[in-house]
Amino acid sequence: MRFLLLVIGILYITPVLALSPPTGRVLLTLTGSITETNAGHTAKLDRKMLNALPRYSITTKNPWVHQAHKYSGFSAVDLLKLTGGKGDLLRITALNKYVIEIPITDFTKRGAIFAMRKDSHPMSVRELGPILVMYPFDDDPKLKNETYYWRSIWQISTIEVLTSPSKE
Amino acid sequence: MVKWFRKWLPTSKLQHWYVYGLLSLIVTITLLASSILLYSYNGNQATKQRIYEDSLWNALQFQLQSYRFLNYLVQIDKKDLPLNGAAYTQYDLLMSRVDLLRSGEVGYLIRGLTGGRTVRLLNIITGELELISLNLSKIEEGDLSYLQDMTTRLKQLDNQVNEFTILVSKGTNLYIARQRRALGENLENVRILMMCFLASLFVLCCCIAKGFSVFKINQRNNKQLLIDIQNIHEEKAKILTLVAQEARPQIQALLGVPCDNTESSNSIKESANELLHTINMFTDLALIDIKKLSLDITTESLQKNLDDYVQIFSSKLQRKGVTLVSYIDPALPDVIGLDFKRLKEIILELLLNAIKHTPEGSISINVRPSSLTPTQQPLNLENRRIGILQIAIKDTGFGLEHAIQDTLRASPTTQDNQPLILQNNIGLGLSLCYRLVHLMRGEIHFSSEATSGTEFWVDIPYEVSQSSPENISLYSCPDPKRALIFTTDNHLANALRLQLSSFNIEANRYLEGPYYDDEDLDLVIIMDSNLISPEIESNIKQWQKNGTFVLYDHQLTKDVQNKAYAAKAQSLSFPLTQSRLNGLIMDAFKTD
Repeated sequence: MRFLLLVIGILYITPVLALSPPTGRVLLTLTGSITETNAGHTAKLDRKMLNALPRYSITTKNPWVHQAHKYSGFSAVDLLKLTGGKGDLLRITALNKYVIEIPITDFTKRGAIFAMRKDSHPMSVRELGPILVMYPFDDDPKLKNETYYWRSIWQISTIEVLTSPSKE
Repeated sequence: MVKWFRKWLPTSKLQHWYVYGLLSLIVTITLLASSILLYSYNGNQATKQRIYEDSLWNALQFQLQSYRFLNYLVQIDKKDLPLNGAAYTQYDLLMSRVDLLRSGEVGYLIRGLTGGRTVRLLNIITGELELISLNLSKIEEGDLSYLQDMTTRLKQLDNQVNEFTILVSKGTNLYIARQRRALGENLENVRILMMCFLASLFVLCCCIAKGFSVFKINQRNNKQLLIDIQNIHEEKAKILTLVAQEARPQIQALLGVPCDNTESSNSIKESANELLHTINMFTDLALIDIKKLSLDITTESLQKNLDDYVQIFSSKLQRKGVTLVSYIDPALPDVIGLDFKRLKEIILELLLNAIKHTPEGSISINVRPSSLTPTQQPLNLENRRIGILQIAIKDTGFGLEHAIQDTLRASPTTQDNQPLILQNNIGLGLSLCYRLVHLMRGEIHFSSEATSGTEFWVDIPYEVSQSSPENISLYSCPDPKRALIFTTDNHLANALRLQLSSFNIEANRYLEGPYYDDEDLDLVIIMDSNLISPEIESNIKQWQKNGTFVLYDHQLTKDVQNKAYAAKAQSLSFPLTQSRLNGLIMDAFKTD
């Protein structure tokens, strides 16, 4: 009886680890409403895993730099597919503990991406990398306002997948 | 330009108010546009304010990150080794904040703050941090002996970091205070502008109200003036009717004097007729002015009436030596419904005008179906068939005076403006003529040149008679006949050619040359004896032997009576109507 309870307890505590574990330094950790994990209830992703996602690029200027740069990276949609994410809101935390919430529609309708490269080179922490959210500001003038400037979070370390309160 | 400006200058009191109203509207729109521009300017300021706020945020984040870095270094312990690049990451986080303060819109703003003190501070901080970073590799390698020195230097740097943050904060606060003050001032300006805007709107409303009031007064005055004018016209009509009543018996008495066919008696009768006609014209004009001249439609023969009209001027035309030819298109019905009394007045006036402007030459009257289509019931002829006939009266005179032409062309064709014609000295006859045509819902046009004379076209609606809709009956030669007209007047030749064509006779005007020797002619009309050379005379004689009918102008009787062909020729008196010519042609060519 004790053995049976132990087995049930182990099965309850240990989630199904469907996502392969990272082989390099972890750049991004996903938590929240995800089904594909590789470390407890989280999904830890290294550069290799993130580079394997479909790549998108944006060439734009922004208020923090003098000139236009080409930013390339992955979409939140593909990231959620990879991790079995079911939410429509991402709570993103930066290395300096700055937190912002971004709706998935920004990636599907506004053309935002998680940029990992600037002008084809990986971005260091000093260059606001390794991951930052970038919007196509030059393509859509409606994006040039505080709402989207504040959502352009850099030095991303963690993403929590959520369902917005209105949909619950 | 001056003309254009004068054209747009207000000419009445009412227009003044409209112009003032319009100007007020322009002023209000300008004010509104200024207000919008002002708001737009504030929008740009809002963007600038965002950059200030970003600067402050980044400065504070930089200060926070410097404390975090210091805290991180203080807390490193031997058990944390190896650091695996964690120290580098913390350093990079700090330096990324420094970079943000140096680049982009924020960097541009900070460079301008406090006369460059912020930039100098930032340079000092960057330099010190670069020096500190030299020891980071040692710590990453596990040598923690450098930690003490690094933390001491970082603590010493705190004063500069703090001063930098305070300077940015001070600059931002200054800007925000200035902006608030400017916004307050702008708000005050907008308030003043809005008051002006409301004042302008009030003025506009006043202008509109005043304009409307003036308009109502003018309308009332105009109504009274119209009544006054109508009363004056009625008085005038009464006086003219009285004059006509008093004068008519005397004129009738003159007309009733037995005619002894002397020139003086003819002249007296003609003058009496003209005087009676003039009195009638004045009476008619007065009745038109008071809108009491009603049309009297009668069903009569068009041809008979026209023949009577042209005969009235027979002696006048003979005295002047001017020939008159009338023609009615056989396509027109003979009996039509029309106010023949008014039609007579129109034709007589146009004929008088033509005679007046034609010292020599010819006049033609051509009555034909009009190309216009009746678009409305022109008279009080409901459920009856309506046609339009055109009367063209053309002369070979010296044309109308330019002033008269300009007046007639400028005069609108509506009845309301017709008194203007009378005021412009175009003559009583033409004034009445125009007004009668419009009263009969017809149209009148003209062309006039000094070299080729004047032509008037009058289009008048008529009622097609249901009882006798037959067309004008004319004799038509069974076989086609040929005629030659001796005249230098091309207009007269054309008029005669048109008349003869209705009898199946093809006529040509004589042209000098030996072209007619072998011609087989049926009719010769001599209108100019100068063209009859001895050779032509012998030709005519020869043609007469072959049965050619010869006609000559009655006025040439003296010249022709000694000629060999005169014995068998017949004289032709003018005005020449189609019915008279019909009789002559019938006598000459009818076989049975």
